[in-house]
Amino acid sequence: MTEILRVEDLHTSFYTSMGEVKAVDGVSFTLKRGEVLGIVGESGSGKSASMLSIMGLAGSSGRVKAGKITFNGQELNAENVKDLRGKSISMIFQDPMTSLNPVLTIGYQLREVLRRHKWQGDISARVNEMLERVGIVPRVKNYPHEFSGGQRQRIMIASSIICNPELLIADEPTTALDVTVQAQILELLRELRKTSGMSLILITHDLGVIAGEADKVIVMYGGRIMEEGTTREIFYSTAHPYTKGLLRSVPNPENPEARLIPIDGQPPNLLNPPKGCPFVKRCPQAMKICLENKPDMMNLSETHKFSCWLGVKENYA
Amino acid sequence: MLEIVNLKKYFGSVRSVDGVSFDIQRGETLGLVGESGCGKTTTGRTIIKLYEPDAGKIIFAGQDITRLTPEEMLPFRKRMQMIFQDPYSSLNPRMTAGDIIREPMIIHKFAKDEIDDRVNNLLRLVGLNSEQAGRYPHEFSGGQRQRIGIARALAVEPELIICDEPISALDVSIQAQIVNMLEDLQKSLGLTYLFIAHDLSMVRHISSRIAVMYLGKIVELAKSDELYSRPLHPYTVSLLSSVPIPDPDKSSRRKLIALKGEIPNASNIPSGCNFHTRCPKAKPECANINVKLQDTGNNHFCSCPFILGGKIHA
Repeated sequence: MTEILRVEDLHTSFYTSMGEVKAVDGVSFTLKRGEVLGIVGESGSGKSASMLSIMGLAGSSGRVKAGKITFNGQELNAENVKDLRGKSISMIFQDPMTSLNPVLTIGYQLREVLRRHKWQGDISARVNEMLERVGIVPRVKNYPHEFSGGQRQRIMIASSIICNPELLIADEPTTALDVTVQAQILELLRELRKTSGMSLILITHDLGVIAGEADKVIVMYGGRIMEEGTTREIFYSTAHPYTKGLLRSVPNPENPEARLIPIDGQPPNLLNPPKGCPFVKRCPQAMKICLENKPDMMNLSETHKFSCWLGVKENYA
Repeated sequence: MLEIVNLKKYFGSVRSVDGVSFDIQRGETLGLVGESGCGKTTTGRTIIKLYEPDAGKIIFAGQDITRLTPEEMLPFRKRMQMIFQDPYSSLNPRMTAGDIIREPMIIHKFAKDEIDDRVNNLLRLVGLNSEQAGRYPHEFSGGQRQRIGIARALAVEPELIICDEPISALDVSIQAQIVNMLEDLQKSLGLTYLFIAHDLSMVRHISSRIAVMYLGKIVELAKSDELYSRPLHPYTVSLLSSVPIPDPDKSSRRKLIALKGEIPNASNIPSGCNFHTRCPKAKPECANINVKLQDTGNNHFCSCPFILGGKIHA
């Protein structure tokens, strides 16, 4: 499989009235064609900010301070990403209610995407074809409020894949939806991947969705990658204390009544982050060095790595 | 502790709660699950009489409270409290944590000299400290805000707490903290919970029995283990098959039983069994039959009359 996306040492900050928020603090990963990357993390972990940085959508208060993003061998910058966005790289967001314009028909909004990217071919036919594919009987003249939440998310998916993107970034695409609708949407994304070979980055906090959909997984916390590996490595050879904590926080399907083991404490304050590892204050295995220094990524296998001082043998003492 | 008989709540033509019956034993947790718009939240709010019921009976600790006036309800309000989903919008941003917890005690006329002590004790009980009483909601994280909401509900020493999606808005690592705390409080204070949620794995964890709602009606009710290991109603079967499992191997072996289409509008509910328009097992007669919850044995109630293996099939 060829590489489609490479992100190297990405740093993104948001500037607020309270000070600088280091939302992404040195994130690197690669994605191959056709692969599904799951990104897990809680609010403020930097997962959405990383994706917005890739898309050049960090906004007026955000700034990509450092890092290199390569898409299909081409280095992305503020200018060239504009032409790729919506065409080769597409993004869908959590909330299908606010991502569609309420005063424009869905047909208009879908045609607009094709016009913007100079679609060669019959625009109306393409719109109908896409709506058909996502299971919305062509209701091109209807407005967003005439559809249910699940239908609106389907329309968003139709609009994001209408130009045959090579990479789709889905930011909590099913979080606002009921489980049966979630299952339909995940099924749809699976089918689209099969037929188009599209790569997918799936951001979610739902470990169940990750287990079912992802080929490989990145676990983020406090703007940094804590652990990265194949889905099986993350679930069955869990290395990082944070990942272990996450997995113990949800009921065990084998023993649903067993008492949960939560991660103590509160998420870190990004305005005033810990000097060392962002997880140090909640980590049951924290050591002195964790307070002072940020650990680097350490390899556990060819595909599995984590950023934790436990990985350095001499620290065990 | 609580018995609900054929409860109905309509909003105009929208039949939100359409004949719901169940009971909750003292010290028990009953889970109430279903998808958006199924009427689970309205059921909870009608029980506590935030909404006036249109029909049916609410019997709390042996007393019929269905038709009580707000004044007559006051002593019962003290005994049943509610925890809300959104710890952001359910706390007044202009009140300190201490005042938020104090308010119900003032309404229910607790002795003045005892209130301040109680506020401090309650804060400690929910894992906060008394120094935090002077802070405002925005100074707390989501999980801490939900702790304040729980302290407020506990302030008047209720017996029954209606928990309406109390963890849905929280991060995974914080959800477990709150669920454990609710379990501990239940044990130490002898509380009874109605736990309303759409996260089916967490509901299974916390509940002793679970009721599944679809379009204003309960379609199945059973012990948690029984419901998950042997779901009977086609809606429950499909709902459970849609819950993602946090285990890659199990997840890949599992088969999804997808539902057709969308949930119908509650102002235009299908005739007969209201699930027949989406049911994978629907028969022509389902559009005309009367369905009601029946015991299939072992206190496993189901509203579908065509379940194989169940007694009512014959």
